[in-house]
Amino acid sequence: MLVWTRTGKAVVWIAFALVFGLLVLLPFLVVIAAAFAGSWNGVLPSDPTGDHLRQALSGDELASLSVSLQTAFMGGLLAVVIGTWGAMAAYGSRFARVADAMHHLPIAVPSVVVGLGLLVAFSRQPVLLNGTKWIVVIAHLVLMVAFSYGTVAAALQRVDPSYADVAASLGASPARVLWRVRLPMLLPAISSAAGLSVALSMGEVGATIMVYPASWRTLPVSIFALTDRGQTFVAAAEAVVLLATTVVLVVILDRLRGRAVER
Amino acid sequence: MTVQLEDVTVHFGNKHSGRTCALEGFDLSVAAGETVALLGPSGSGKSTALKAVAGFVRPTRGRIRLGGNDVTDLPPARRGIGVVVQQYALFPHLRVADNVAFGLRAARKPKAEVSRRVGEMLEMVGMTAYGRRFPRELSGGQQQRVAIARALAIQPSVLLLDEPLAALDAQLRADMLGELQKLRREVPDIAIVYVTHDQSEALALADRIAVMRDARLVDIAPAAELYAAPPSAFTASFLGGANLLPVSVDEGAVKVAGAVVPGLKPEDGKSLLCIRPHAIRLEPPEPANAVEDVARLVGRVVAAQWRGASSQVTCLVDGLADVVVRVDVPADRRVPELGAAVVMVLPVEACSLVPAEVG
Amino acid sequence: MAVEALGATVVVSSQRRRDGKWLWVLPPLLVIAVLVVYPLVLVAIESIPAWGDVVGSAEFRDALVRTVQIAVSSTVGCLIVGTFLAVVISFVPFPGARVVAGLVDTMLALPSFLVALSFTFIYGTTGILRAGGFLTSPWAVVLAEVTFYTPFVMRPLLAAMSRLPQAQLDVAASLGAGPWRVLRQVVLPEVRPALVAGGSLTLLLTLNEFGIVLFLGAKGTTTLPMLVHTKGIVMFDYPGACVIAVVQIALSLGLYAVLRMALGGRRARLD
Repeated sequence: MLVWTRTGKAVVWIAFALVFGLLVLLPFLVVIAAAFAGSWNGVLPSDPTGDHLRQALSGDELASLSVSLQTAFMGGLLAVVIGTWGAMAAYGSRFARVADAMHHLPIAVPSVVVGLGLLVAFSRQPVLLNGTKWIVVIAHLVLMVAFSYGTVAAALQRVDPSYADVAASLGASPARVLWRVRLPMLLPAISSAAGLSVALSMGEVGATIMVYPASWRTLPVSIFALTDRGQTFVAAAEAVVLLATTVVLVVILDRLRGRAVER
Repeated sequence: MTVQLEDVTVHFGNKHSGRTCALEGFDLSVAAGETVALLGPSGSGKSTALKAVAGFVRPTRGRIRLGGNDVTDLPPARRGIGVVVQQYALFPHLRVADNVAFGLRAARKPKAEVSRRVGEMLEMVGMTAYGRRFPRELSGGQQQRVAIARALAIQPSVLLLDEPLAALDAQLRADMLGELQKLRREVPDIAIVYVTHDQSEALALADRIAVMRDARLVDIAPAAELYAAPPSAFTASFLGGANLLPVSVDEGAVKVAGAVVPGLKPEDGKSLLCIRPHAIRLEPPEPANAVEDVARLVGRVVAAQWRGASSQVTCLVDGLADVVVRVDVPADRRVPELGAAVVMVLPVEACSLVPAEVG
Repeated sequence: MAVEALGATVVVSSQRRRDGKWLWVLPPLLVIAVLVVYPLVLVAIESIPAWGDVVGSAEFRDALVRTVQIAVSSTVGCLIVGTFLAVVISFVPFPGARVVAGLVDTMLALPSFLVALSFTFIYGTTGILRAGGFLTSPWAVVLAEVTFYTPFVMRPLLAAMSRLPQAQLDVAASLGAGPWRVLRQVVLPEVRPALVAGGSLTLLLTLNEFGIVLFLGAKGTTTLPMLVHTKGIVMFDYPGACVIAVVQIALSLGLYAVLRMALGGRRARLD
């Protein structure tokens, strides 16, 4: 307890509600409200409508959702595998520092630069990927590997290595120790890395906007195109679609994690 | 300054998560210069009572007075009470001297006075050489001394000690107990409330002991009185681990397992005989010939633990199912073998009667 | 997440080294080398012919100054707001404080451009406040970044504050210190490593921020990442974009290295 008097607490809480509500929470609520508003010319939105949402779930916009989902699953989940592998292999090895630095590179560098690099590198021989969906998937993969690696590496610090030692002393082979002891103990971290990767991939805009071909437009790119054309309400509706999809995916992954922990 | 708690009740939680009562109708008065120990198992409310005095928790009912002034609604910063907690809670980023100076600086005392008082306090606890150290560079016992110096630096008229020795190992604890006794003599006018679950600390330091259980005060009395004649079964077993044996009354005589306890008068509502483990003598099962004021119980040995200076022997009494009797056998006496039949000799002057537990 | 990603220290325990085990680290490193390091090297090479033109241009210098300006202002804003919110959640708790803390965690995974999008409704010409001019100023970017990155400061702070023993605050209060003094002399000094970690991460991320600037689309607010996009995608000037990318990398990585060293040293001293 820091503030002991009732009036003191009340003042602090009111300040908290104002700052948190207006500064942090309001922007997200405004987007959701705008998605269902026909117009917004005053303090409150007016003419409630579902048209924007309908529009956001049809034609090109719907295709974008499908593109985003595919990208998130291909790029994000592969990133979890690579990131987990990297973190576990690097833990305690002589390459730990190098691996640590290399895996953190994609988040230390702006995502536009990651995109530019891919654009420069894969618009030429030996590998031509520019103009295909694979360059988008690779961009997402690279960014999400960094986050997955970080999440799993942090969890490794907390796991007591003596469990693996005990398992080995009981005669388990290294493969068995990995499969039955080390991986299960990291499962919560791995599934939260998966949730994080999918969520961040769904919202990724910097690298994507550098590399995407016209045939592979992700949701955020579509949302940007809509705002650029001045269709902000439809953009808000599509942002809500993005939010809802992300939340559903993360909740599902979280459920899996809950089940894994129970077991 | 006198500390008074009147009918203090503390609830935690709210309507939704369910309320738990941490302290119920607690009354206590500690005079200036007096040390009262709050003794009880964990969850008995003793720490809550102390936190209520310090102002860390707000009572749902009841008043707290310091020197007659109602301080129930004052924040801790305005009570001027010294507090020492179990984990010391020294500020890790401040040097020892700055830790001790913290309260003086909060009171905006002049620089010269701060450094003089810090010097005095460090000297009192024997830590003068450590003023420039950080807390993490000190041992547990040293941290404890600094915590006490910090609490006393503000010249409180009340000092609250919450399990101050619980985090120390056994040898250090014994040493610090001596230090605390010495300290008591240096600040003769302060009222001290000492929270502990360890009866030996309470017996060594307290003028009076308040035994607590389940958020309530069970008994309060001068330490020696409480030990010699415990008013309740709980106090008897918690303070000194007394044996409690069910008695029956037959023709005006008190009997345990059929054996008469000579000279003990039955009292209404008191159906347990209380006797300390060290007061019982073990003898081989031979017919009694001496005429003594003793009760003799026949039984057998079921366990024995060697404890260095003595052994604790656990016996079952014939005819008393589910009742074990613990006996301390001094190192110079022979410990009977496991399973051996023995006679437990209960000197009547060490016996007293207590009421049975209710519920 | 990002906080952990950057804060994770690698413990090398010599006992656990086994011959041949290190080979396992090569496949993921190879992936990173091909997909990140090789492209960045190419970017550096590609940039060589264009340095003179770009570095001399006013456009570049303005963007550089603006980037640093926005990042520093946003970080300062995040530190103030984040510290206030974290202190209230941790030490002046109210019913529902945990829900708010959970909400903060969730926000870390949301895309930043949502905030920029909402600003069109709040500050846009037809919006709630009708502060049309504000929307196109750098301060709109700063405010949006404060909104979005405050949770990044709060997360390590909340973790550090939950480890701070309540008894220290209680004892400080019993010694006569008021809330302000306890905050300044006990809480803040003890959570300083978390404050530094959260602040430096936020500085790095705000230097690199792109989504917010893109969506606000303010003419006067061109940052380096924005310039990379404009040059590379809109003007097809790859070498020019590469120069800015190299500068941006140097800025980000230089800062990142300095912070890691500073934080590493701090951590070592604390242990």
